[in-house]
Amino acid sequence: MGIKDTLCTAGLATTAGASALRGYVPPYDAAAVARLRRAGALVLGKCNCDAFAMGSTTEASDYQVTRNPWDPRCVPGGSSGGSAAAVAAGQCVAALGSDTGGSIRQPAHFCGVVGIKPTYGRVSRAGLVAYGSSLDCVGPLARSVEDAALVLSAISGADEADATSARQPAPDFAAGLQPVRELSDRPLAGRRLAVVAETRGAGVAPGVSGAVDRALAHLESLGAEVGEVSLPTFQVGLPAYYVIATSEASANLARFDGVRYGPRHEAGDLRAMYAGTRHAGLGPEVKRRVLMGTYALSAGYYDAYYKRAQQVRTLVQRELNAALDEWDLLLSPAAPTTAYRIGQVCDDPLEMYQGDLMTVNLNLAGLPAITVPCGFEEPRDDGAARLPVGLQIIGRAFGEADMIGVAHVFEQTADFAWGSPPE
Amino acid sequence: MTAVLTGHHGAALGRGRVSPRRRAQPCRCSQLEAATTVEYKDTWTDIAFIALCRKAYGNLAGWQSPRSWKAGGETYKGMVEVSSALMKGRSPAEQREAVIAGFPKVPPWFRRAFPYSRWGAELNAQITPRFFTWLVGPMCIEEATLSDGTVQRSAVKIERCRYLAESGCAGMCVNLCKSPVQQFFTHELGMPLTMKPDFEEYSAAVTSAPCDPAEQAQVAYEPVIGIECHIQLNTRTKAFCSCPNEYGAPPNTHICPVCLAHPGTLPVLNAEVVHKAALAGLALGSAIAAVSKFDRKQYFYADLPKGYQISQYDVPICAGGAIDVALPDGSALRVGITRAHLEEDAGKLVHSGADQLTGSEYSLVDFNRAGVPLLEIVSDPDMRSGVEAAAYAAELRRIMVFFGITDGNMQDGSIRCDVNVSVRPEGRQRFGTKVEIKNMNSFSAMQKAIDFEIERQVGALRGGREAEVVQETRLFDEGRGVTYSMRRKEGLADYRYFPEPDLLPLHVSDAYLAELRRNLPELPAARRARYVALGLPPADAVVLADEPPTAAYFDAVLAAGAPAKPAANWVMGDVMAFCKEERVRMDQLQLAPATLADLVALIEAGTISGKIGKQLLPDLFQGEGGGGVMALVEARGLAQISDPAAVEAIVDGVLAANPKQLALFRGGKTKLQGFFVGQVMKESAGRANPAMLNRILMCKLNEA
Repeated sequence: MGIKDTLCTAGLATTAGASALRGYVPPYDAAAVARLRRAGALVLGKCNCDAFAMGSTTEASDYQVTRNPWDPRCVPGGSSGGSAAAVAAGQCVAALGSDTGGSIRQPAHFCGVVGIKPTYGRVSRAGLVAYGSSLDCVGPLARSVEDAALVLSAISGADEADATSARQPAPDFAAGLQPVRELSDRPLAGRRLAVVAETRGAGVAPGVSGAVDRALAHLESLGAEVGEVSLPTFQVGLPAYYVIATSEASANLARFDGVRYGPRHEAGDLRAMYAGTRHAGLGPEVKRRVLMGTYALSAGYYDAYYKRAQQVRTLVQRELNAALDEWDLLLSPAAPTTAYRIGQVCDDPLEMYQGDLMTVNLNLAGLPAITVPCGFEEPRDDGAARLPVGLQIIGRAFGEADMIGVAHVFEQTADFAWGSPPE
Repeated sequence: MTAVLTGHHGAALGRGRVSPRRRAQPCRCSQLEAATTVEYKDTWTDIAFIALCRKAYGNLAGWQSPRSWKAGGETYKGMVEVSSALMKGRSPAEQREAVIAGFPKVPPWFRRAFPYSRWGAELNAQITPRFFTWLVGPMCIEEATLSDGTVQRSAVKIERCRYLAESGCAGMCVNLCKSPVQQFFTHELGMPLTMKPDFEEYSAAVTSAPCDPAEQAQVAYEPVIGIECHIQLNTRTKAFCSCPNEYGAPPNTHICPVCLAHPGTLPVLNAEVVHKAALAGLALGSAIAAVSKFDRKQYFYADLPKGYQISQYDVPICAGGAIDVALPDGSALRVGITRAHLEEDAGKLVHSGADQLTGSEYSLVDFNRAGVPLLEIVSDPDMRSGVEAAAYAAELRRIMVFFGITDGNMQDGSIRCDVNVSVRPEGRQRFGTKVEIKNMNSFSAMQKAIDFEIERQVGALRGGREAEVVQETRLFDEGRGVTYSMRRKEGLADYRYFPEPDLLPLHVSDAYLAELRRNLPELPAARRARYVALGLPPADAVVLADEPPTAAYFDAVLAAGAPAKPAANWVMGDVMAFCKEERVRMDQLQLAPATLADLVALIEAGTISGKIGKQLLPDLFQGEGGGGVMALVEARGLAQISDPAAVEAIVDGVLAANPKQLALFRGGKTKLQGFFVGQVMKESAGRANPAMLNRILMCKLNEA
């Protein structure tokens, strides 16, 4: 298995993609890694990511550029881009990623693999280099829903080292999955699914819309009722997410000061040591987010930004839960576009942030979601390789089993969604 | 000012009356001579101002006059009536405060931006007639001569104050106008202003000029002191990880990835921390929050591993409460508790080559202390002197130690106090500029630091050097007995507090608290009261109930049946001295409390003398006497000789052996009695019953 570099591995360098942790070797395994090892998994190596998981393309890694196996001119997405690319390229059976605003689901979509962001608290965060502590989730990326379910089962469950981990017993998520030959004609009969209206139409690339439409039709053909639900707060989640995530990050990243570990810039006094160390250790995207968060928490701005963002978070949460009272699962594209070209958005942070629109609200609400490959963007006329599209299926809190079950049936029956990247 | 007024009373206020229903306390402001009527030609703007003022005073007084609002004269009379109503039921100080509360708030930067200047003072005098004629009538600008002899046009002469004339009341003049206006201009606007009314002519001189040092030097100041105490909880492990919480280990031996803030580590709250904090809350009489939460307090420093301290910001575990403090003079002071919240300690910097930062080449960090649980207890600003503050801190320490919450060792830093000191003119409610003092490692140092600081601040204010009192942190230099500036606080430091996402809200249930209450230890104050009820002097009670081992030992001696007073004398005397000498605590003594009680009982019964008791003590401290002190006494033949015949025999022997002294005594040299007592004691090896000895000896001496 591959392990995203935001997860600590005992004796194996863990940098979170950041210079600030160059050469850092943790003395302990992250809880999820330890559980995988106990379950017999072999750790093949660490997967590249945007520094401190801040980015959507893995271009913000302080080390290497990671390319998309479907088209090496494209990014694999991010921040778990290394994990998604490694799985898509068949370098490992599965990988662990972390998802603060879509960092598992968006790269899964870009790379045509399955990615699960579990319910907040389902998997221990112990040993995960923190970005937005109230949003961070550890989850699997894999070639199939069943593989992802197996990995999720192995890493789930309460952990004494993480006070926010949930006490709920973790079921075996792979146990109920039926092989395709045992499925009835209409295996999803009685399932009530709804597409989030705000994720369709303007702003979504036609290639993505087309693939999602075909997937919806397929779900209906499997017997599911597919309706539409409008979530008016959908658009306001994104700014709230960026305020909360960057605020928490501004505190979480304060520890990278060169005093106890990591590279240190030697200087005559403490202030200069801090300034030099952090200047060298934190890249431009990380600095931008730390500054944003510091600003949002400053005296006089707290109420206008952080507090307001928390209020928005509550609204988003209520609205999603209300929709999930009415419907079994919600559906949306995993991102508005297929994989970007390398260099396409990394100079335009706002465009990049927009790409998180489909995913961040689930982090705000703490709900589980899975990205499952649902087809391809129609081939472009420039002769580029066809790029995969992922469908996001959103479940109720701690309702991963349901979500995984539907994704599995979809995957096993949707031949059009299958494919492997070119050799 | 009271003195000035009384003088005028004598001269001008012949018919002054105090309306008995008006005031609870004596009014110093009797009615003035009835005013002769003067016509004021109020413009509509004048009337508007009068009406505004009348409305504002009315709102403050909670009553409006029924007079007309249209005509100038009537409106003005209405204003005077409501201002007179405003005085009802209020002391002069409260009247002044009520009026000042109605004035606009001036931000501190205004005083810094516009410090006193001659130009400002003259401008002030120039514009006064334009703005206040409606209130005080016609004015003219005059020259003022300053104390240094310079002359400037910064005085305004009110020819005949309309307000004073209409009200005819010196008290209203002083408390509703002069005092608040002076205070507003001087302290809020930074424009020293004095108003000198003449109660005969109803005129007044208003001068803007630097304060007269002589007058300023007489102002009485009241110190206000509040204390923040950081109490290290003596839990087995640290607050958020399982490292030992133990003082004195070699540097960086009680550390782990969590308290070093390695990437990915998370805090997990220690249940014992909650237990101790709740116990402390109960001891302080605080309300313990059913739900409280943790927050991150962010700042960068080398001893702070995470770059933030986990603390409790707006919802602390304990709110409110009070403790009763015994002052050295025997009186009691109740000090309110504002709040108590949980947080974690930081590491410790060790500066190489010097004991402080300045002068050292580099600093090392010892993280053994990082993550040690702290309870920060914030007092109300209820103390007024160094003595009170030290007594509060000592009592707080005692409570926490008796409840087993902290080791309470000041030298090891398990209790650290930050003291906030400010002074304000007596009678004023608003607080003066607050100065924080740190670095006091004993209660006596705290007392000295505070007393020094009070004197420094009052001296600066009286000397016209207000700029020397600024909001800052000062350190106490115990050697020199002075405080010195550590850092200026530019406004409030911005700690960017926000809720700690890694910890869940902290729930404390009623059942949990009920369980704690069932096994609550005795408060030191209750213990002292119990000792006093046994007949001990309060001073003894304080000594016995100061440290838990002493109190426990004394209680055990009492429980073994010893009477309180002699038991207290032995414990506070020989036993305490032995402990001090040998550097042991009372709970480590080999002398069991029951053995001491045994000894006391033998002395009380007259079986042995106190002197013999003292002779036995060294052996008892070595652990002898466990089989009963009496056995030891008998084995050594130390029982007191209380048989009259035996004592008489010894006395006879002594008298026979000293005929010369006996003759001298009988010849009138009665001082020799002591000599005979000594001889008898010597003969009996100290065992003669002293009372009996004296009685028999006197009989024999005076026989002939």
